[in-house]
Amino acid sequence: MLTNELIVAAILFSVGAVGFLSRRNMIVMFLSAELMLQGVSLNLVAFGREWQNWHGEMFTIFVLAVAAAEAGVALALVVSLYHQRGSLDIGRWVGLREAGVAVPPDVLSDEEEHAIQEDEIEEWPRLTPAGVEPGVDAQQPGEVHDD
Amino acid sequence: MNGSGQSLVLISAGVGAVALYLLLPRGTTKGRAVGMGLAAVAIGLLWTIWGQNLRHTLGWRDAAFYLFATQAVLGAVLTVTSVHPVSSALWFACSVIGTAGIFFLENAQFLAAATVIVYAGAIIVMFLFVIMLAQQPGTAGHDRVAHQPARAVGFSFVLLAILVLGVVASYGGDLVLGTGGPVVHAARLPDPAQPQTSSLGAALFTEQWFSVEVAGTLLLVAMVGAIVISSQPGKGKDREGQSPGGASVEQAAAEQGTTGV
Repeated sequence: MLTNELIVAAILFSVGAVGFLSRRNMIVMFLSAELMLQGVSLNLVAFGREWQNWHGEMFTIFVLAVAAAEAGVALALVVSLYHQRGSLDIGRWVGLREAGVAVPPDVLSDEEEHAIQEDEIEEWPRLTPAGVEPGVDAQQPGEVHDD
Repeated sequence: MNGSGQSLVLISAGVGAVALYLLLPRGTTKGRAVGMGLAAVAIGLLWTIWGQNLRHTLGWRDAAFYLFATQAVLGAVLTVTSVHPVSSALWFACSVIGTAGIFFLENAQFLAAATVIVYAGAIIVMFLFVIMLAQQPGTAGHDRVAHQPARAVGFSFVLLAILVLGVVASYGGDLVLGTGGPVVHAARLPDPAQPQTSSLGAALFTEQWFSVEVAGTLLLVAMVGAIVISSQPGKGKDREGQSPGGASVEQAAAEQGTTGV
């Protein structure tokens, strides 16, 4: 059982690392970091059980507390960064790199981002606004208005 | 651990890595079906590896472990590969529930409950609130195209292969833990007759009381920090009187960085 749990923990950690390195949305990046924390917690609990003491579980409780604190601060930061750039794209902050380091080749410019958005229109479902009184005399486009 | 087991680990990690690469958003939907097929193959290989590590016949506990662990792994993969951040957050909750199931099987009931409450409850709700605050309608370009997915997957494949090979070489097979290892403190053995949660609480508040205090202080400091950070936009409005545009100070700082000043 211990080996299998360690394997699951390693998979969770690696998948989280892929997400943190390759996704550009800041929220998804933080979710991936939480996935890596999940892998570590699983490791700690499995070892604590194997050695028959409470240290693994106690450590995991502190990991939970730190993860909650981290999520609070990180999401406050994400909201503040979003307000400054108008986008959740981490590539918008490429200007924070060190002097003399080239821009990574696949950071999208505004035009490219726009082109991708135009490329494939995929919309969220639109909800009918609630609480708006329907206009009694408003003529619908497809509707025959009989006088 | 024999050679065939090691090559099985390498093959399944490789298949999983290729599947993950194909499933990551790359601006095109080509190869997604192949990626899903390869992911299914990787899960099958993973079950084979787990089966090799079992030292007894498959019981209901192992079946439950297979179920929860597969849920955790699939949820993790879908968290990383979903295009919509909302789907990512919900798949993360699914993965966390799988992890909590494994905790439960490990006889860590308090942790299972705490993980579901804190992660799948509080943290996911917070994420969803932020997504609702910050998400524009439709999917953004940065959600559809991942940043250098091949390199990320390659790095992660090497990491996973090393970790799993090390784990299987150290703890797999017939090695029985507890022989010649560190001394197990008898006082800390969880008594099976006692309720697990109360003895965990007793251990936590006697041995580790100082750490509990530190964790509480950390949560307080994090709360104050989050309030300070998220009340910055109000300060930005005050600053607009002196400088044109709230974001211009940050913009200027970023531009200074790019020109190397």
